[in-house]
Formats: sequence, structure tokens, C-alpha cells
Amino acid sequence: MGAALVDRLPAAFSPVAECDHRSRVSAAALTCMARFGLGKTTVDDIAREARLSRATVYRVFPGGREEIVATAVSSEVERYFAALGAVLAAESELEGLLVAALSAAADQLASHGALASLLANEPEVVVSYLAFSGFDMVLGAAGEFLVPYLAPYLAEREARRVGQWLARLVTSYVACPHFEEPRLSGSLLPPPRAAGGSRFALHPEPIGREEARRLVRQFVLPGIAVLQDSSKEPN
Amino acid sequence: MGDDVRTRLLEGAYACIAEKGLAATSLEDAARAAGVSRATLYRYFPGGREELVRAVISYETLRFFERLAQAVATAPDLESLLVEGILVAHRSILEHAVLQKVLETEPELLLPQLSLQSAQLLGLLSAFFEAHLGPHDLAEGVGRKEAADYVARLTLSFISSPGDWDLADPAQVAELVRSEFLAGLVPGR
Repeated sequence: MGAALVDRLPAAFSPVAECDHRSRVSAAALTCMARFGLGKTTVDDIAREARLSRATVYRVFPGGREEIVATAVSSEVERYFAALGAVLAAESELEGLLVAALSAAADQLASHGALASLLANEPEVVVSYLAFSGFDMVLGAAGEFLVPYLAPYLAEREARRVGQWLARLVTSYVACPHFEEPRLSGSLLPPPRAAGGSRFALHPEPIGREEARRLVRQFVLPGIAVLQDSSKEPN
Repeated sequence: MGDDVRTRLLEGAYACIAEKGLAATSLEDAARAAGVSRATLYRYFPGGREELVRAVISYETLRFFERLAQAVATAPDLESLLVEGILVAHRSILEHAVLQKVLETEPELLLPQLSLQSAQLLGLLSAFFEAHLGPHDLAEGVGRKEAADYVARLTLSFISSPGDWDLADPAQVAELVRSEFLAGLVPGR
């Protein structure tokens, strides 16, 4: 059955078409978000971009704009983790796995178009996931994701902690790359205003491969040994 | 003299924010709380409300870290400094009524500003740790700046979000510091 025929079937009669429409709408929402920003993207924009009628969009997303945005974001998060998973699956020893996790996770965040556009134009949407309880959620998800990859080398408790540890390093370097040398005079004055107001810019390679290897060898591997020792100690 | 007025304005604005929140605090409120005229306020903060709010957040954040630094200044070594610092910071954040209220009701006004400040905080923390690294604290091949930068990144991250660790439990904090913070950094581990 060709795609053209699927397109002509009423969505309600075809789970295939419905699924296809949902992903088309979700992809269109991402395109619109990258172009106009999240706040300015309307259901009409999304329908036009997906080349579907407004009615069809609402049939596959009865929750409207909010549901579309949530779906688009979560499919992007899935895609991010899937791409990272493909990189990690190619590694066959712990050091290589940790190095790959640090550098690939950071590179993929830094080269994400919709994320860059959100950070530049609507940082409030993103930064709620970079601190306090929002970041605890991200840490939880990152730890969960990495557990199976770390399982050949680490017990689950250590794997979860190491996964979160890597996520902290990735986030820290994506937010403030090392070589920017963010140093300060020590005064209590706020930093000067930047032109245009968008000071959230992503560096293309926040953790270079060599820097990732150095972090892993110097800090992460010795730290893992201590974590493993202390979990062996009888309490 | 000038710094004194500036500080009064920042503290006056902070008191208003504590009472009403970020969005509802006006320039008039801040000027009244500081006992100065609106014109004077504009002389110190030509960018108006937005600049004042940004300056208050920056001022309070840096004061938070200054108090933290004072609380751990007498620690005998880096390990106990970090353990004590994390315990105190974790408790102070939870007990910080104004921060918690703003985080709950208007995070979108606070968090972008805090994120923009993270490079500055990292610099401050890193300088602080560099000063507290003793002459024999470092493993071979680790530079002072590298060590201080690494510890500063983790500190900032844990102070904000504890993840799976219970940072109210001194035993867990000690395990965290010995493993993730210091294992690769200090000699003989």
C-alpha cells in the first residue's frame, strides 16, 4: 500500500495513517519551533508546515498545541538518546564507553538546532531543566538511560551514579566550555549586558575527545574504583 | 557613599521580592524600601527594573556563596571542606525561603538569570578552591587550575541538584566527596 493511498484514507479508519499524521505533525512542530521559536508557533503554522488541515491536526492531537509540543519534545529526546545509544553500543570496554558518552552526549546537544534556537530566543523554556528539581529529572533520565550500557562493568547502584555523574559533566561543559576560561574580577557587579540579549550560545565541541579521555582517566575511573570499594564495605 | 546607596537599593529590592515576588516588585517599591528617590535609583540602575532585578539576583547569589565560604573557611583539609560545604549548601538551599518561593511561583524569571551567571559562579568557586588546595593535595600530573575547575563544576552541579545522592546524610556526602570529587585528584587513593 503506497503512502499516497494511506494519505487519502480518513485517519479515523486507519491506525497507520493516524500514526503517520502524528509523526508528520510532530516533525512540523519542530521545524516551526526552530524557525519561529516555541512561543510564536501556532497550530495553524504547524498544520501548514505538515500540509494537513487544522481539523486533521486536532483529530490526531485532541490536546492541541500543548500536546503537539510535548510530543515533539519527547520524540526529540528519544531521538537524542537513540543516537547516543548507537554510539555507545559500538564500545567494548569501560574507558572507551565513558569517553564516548561524554563527548558524544555533549556534541549532540551542542549541534541540536532546535535546542540552540530555544536557548537563544526562549531560554526560560530550557533552563528550567538545567537547575534544581528540573535538572534532578534530567539526571534521573540520564542515569536510567546509561545503566544498561554500564551494566557489563558496574553494579546497578554504581551504574546509576556514574550515569548521573557523566550527565553533570556534560551539562557543565555544554553550559560553560573549559577553554572559555570563565574567570572574573571578583566584584559583586553583575556581568555586562550583551548586545541582543541572547547570551546562551552553544559551543560546537564542548568536550573534545582528548579532554573527555583526560576527564575519564584522571577523575572518573579512580572515582568508580572508590565507589565500588565503598559499596563492598560492610555497614 | 555610592556603594552604600547601591547596596541599600539591592537590599531594599530584595526585601520587596521576598514579600511580593519578582514580577510584582516595582521600581517605586525598591526606591521606597531603600529610602531614595526614583531618580536616584535610575542613576544607579539606568536599565531600570530589568537591570535592578538582575543585579539583585546576582548580589544575593554571590552573598550566598560568600556565606558558604565563610562557613567552611576553617576546615582543616579539602575533603572536610567539601563535605561540610556540600552539607551546608544543601541545607541552606532547602531553607532559603525566598529562593524556594520564587522557584515555585516564578522560575521563568529567575532561572535564565542564574544560568547566565553560571560561568561567573564557576570562576568564583574555582578561585576559592584553588586557594584552598594545599601544597601536597594534588596527585601527580594534575594541575591546580584543572583540579579547581573540576571541583568547582561538580560543586555547582550538586549544590543545585543532588540527583540520587542524599546530601543531608553526612556519610553519603563523605562517600561522594571521596569518590566523584577527590579520587583522581589527591595522591595515594
